[in-house]
Amino acid sequence: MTVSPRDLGAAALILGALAAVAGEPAASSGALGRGVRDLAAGVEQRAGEVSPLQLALWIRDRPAGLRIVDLRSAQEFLEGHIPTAERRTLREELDVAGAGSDDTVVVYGAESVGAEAWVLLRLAGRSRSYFLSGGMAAWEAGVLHPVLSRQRLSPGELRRMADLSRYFGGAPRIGEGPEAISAPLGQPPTVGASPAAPRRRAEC
Amino acid sequence: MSAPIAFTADGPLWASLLGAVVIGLAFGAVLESAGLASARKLVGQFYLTDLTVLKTMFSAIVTALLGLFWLSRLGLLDLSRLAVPDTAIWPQAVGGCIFGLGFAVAGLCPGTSCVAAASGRVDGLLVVAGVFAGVLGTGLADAESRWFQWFYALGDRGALTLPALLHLPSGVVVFGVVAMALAAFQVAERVERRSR
Repeated sequence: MTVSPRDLGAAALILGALAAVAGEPAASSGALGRGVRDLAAGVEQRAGEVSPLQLALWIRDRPAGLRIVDLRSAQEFLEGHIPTAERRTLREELDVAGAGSDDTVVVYGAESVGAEAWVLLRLAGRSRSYFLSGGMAAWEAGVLHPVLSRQRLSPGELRRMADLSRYFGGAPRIGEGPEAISAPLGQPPTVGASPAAPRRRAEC
Repeated sequence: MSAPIAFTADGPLWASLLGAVVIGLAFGAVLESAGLASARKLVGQFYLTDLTVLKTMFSAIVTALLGLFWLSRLGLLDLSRLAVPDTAIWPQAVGGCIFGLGFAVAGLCPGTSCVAAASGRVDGLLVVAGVFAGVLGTGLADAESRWFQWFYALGDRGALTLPALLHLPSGVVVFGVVAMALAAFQVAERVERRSR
């Protein structure tokens, strides 16, 4: 028995028409979705984390499409916040910024709130979200009142960090000790790039 | 290299590579049997004299689409293990133009160039060399150039699927693509008949 292209076309049309009324494909059988696996890899690699000095560099360079979201209370926000930040609750941010938004968003709050919010934003499809490591306290310690290690930072690096701190009205100090910043500033991730998951490319 | 389905996510690397080799050989055999190792046949696509490429590729898409949907609907395949390539609109638009230009000039695409090279054709070997040079150049530029990294992320929408983009159930999208393919086959047959 030979099967003609017309028969195959008819079979495809029947299967396609049935698909339209068959409902959604079965949910994964207990296995985690790829999105969750990618997120787990991002958490392991600390891919969503931005240090206070890296965020300062970002804000100073004013790239297009960057939003800073303060998740703390209105009172805490009024007492002091990161320049250009807007105050929102996490639920407001999830509602406003739906999946596929092109903005790069950095969230922060008290202590680990930013990291928790980042996980939820990523699960909601916000691939370009980051969180400020250490929250507002880390911003104050790292940008507004940084202690810079003269022994472990090069003179150029030390000057660059001090200038960045002063740009935000900070008062950098030179000192040593466990709280002293000793790691080079480096560059923040590129605004617009998706952190955490490696880019997957189509192949032909 | 990533396989379309991460079927070896919990298994050893050799199983993944073996799977890639088997799938690659099957893909090449089908391309060869469809006559797509012939540059003349491929270029016929652009002159509207031979639309075998469109019919072969659309047949493959419809077969895979229906297979994935129904296997998943019947609980035999976990769709969440399917790798969806990221969509970055601008770099992919530019890449598509370069790809199309190379396709028209060489008369071969990456898959068919491997088939042509395997059958000993020099033009196939040259296209394969060009593909590897392009991949290497892109990888180096992506690693070294901040401008290139910026461009590569332009219009990045992450892993985007048609049901999510159109806000339609998967089955409706499947039916739409099948109907579109069948209509394309009809048009292709008519165009080929007219060109004879």
